[in-house]
Amino acid sequence: MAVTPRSCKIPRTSNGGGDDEDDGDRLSSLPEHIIRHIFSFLDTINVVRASSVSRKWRYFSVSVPHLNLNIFTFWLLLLNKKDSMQVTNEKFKDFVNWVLMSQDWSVDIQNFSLYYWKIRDDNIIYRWMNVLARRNVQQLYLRLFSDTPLELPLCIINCESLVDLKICFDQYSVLKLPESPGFTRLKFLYLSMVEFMDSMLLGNFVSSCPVLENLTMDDCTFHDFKILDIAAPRLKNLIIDSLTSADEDLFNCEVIVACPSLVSFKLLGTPSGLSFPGTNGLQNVFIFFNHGPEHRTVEEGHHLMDSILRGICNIKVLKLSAAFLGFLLLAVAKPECSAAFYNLKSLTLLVSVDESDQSTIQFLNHSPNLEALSIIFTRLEDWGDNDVALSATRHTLVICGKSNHVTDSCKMPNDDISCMTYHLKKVELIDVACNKNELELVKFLLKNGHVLQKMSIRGKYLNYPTRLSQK
Amino acid sequence: MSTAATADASSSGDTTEGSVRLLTLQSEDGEVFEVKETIATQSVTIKGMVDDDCATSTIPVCNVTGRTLAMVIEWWNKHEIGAVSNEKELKEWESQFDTIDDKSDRDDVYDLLMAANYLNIPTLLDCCTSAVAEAIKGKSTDEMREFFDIKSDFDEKEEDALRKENQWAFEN
Repeated sequence: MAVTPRSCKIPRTSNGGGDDEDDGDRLSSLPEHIIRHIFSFLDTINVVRASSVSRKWRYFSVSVPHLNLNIFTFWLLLLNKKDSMQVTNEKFKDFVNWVLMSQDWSVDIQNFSLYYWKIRDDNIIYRWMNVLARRNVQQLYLRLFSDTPLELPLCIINCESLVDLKICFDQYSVLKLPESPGFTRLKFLYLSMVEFMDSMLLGNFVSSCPVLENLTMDDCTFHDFKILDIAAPRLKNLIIDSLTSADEDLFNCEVIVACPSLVSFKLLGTPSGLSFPGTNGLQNVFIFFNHGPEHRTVEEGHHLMDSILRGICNIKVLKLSAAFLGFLLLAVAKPECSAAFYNLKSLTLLVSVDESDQSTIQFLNHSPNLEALSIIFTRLEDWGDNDVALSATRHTLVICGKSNHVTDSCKMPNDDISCMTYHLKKVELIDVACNKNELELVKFLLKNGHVLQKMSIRGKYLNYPTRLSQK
Repeated sequence: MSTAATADASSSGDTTEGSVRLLTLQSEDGEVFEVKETIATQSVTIKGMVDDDCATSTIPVCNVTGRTLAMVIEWWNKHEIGAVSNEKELKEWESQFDTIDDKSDRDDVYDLLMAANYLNIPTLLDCCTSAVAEAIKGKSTDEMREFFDIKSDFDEKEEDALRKENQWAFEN
């Protein structure tokens, strides 16, 4: 417990002026760790400015273990905004160099975050990374505009302090992956708008990170991939998002997830296959297919679903898109399929308005122990025409109708649904537009939900949630 | 920033409210507050005392005035689970700490920082440190000195050197 100086309290003055000057600087007399805490929120440009305020502030500034260098903030704050990109870049480089030089080198860098415009053969970023590696950087976040491929330098690959690495490109760019193993302590890896060119190299790279626990590939492209093989012994959370990369998504790619420690998995994209060999601990899955079953032949659909169902049948928490639900209902409709999600406790569905009722209720039949259900209604007009990701809901709408063999979409089944009789306690309907189908669904849930405790309905254009309780 | 949460804080007489235990806190200037144990244990320091069974008599809160302690208790009341129905409302309430342009607001924030530090209340500490950081952002060195009432302790030559080294600091 820090001991606080007794003299910290000063009497209030009504007008704020005319204080004794010694009383003025209360900020600098705060405990050291509090001042450090304050500085940790700041962009480094502000820290540099603060370093010239007084000796005490200088002392804190040069030993701040968080560096946040952002060329855009720099440009906004300082420079003549008419400066060209090149001039801004030159001044920013000068600034980063000075920061790295003037800092106290005995303090390790906990967190280095850089936003930089790397133009053509500009190699300064490799020199910076060299300094960071020597200063035992733990978290390294790079956001880059880069018109040439970025290479991961050896000093970073072999950096034994690095725990967390994040690389985000402003436009799709190639990241040259290392061929030799490294990253001995890396636990978190986040890559955004990265173009992957070689499936072997990516697979080898991931499996060569010995303690990697979290891997996110956000909005990445997988150029001509036939197989995306993720095998990492310690991996707990995996996110693969290839939705917006319309031309090179995973449509013709088989995704294989072989991670014995994996707990949570999220996939956005529609691969040709998805399997989970040796991945037995999976609990939480979010699958967002953007292409419904009409984009595949029946055989392809069955092939896809067989391996997925084997992989996800024991999970507890499931979140699905309408397109995936379309595949799922086709699969469970097969007479030989007895798939049931006995462990499933929480289900979230992203559905489009018109098909919600039938497909939802069909699926409830296969989740006997479900306790919480959330339905998020997506609406076609919510998504721009060029939004490849969600225009897919349009197709599913048709397909789900077909797969259910139901013509009157408002008709609800009469038979008992086990989870509603015994387990389903909580229902959440989000972005409801109060049309007839949705109201039918609400009626059905209220009538058949024997143990329902809480139902919340949130309208799309309403700011207040409506809560209904039963029993 | 609005202040003074005396309504919940200064109770007289009853020391039990249902089965909830009340703790007695005494500020540096002698003001006494009775606070529900479930609320006061948002302070890691007080929680430690309760866990060690040292919270049976009056707990002195050194270096924190009654005025500040009342604000801290208001913070606790707002942050008690279930006290505020949604996150948005809480954020709105917290936003009163965001601007510290007035000197009196700054003094309140410093007082709260000292109290949050002594009582070890992470949420309050985060809120107040980020408010101070927000005030530093975007200011030139000279503006910072003026705003926080800091006198430069560099001599003229050093000041000159600083202006050359950190040209970015003085431009705006």
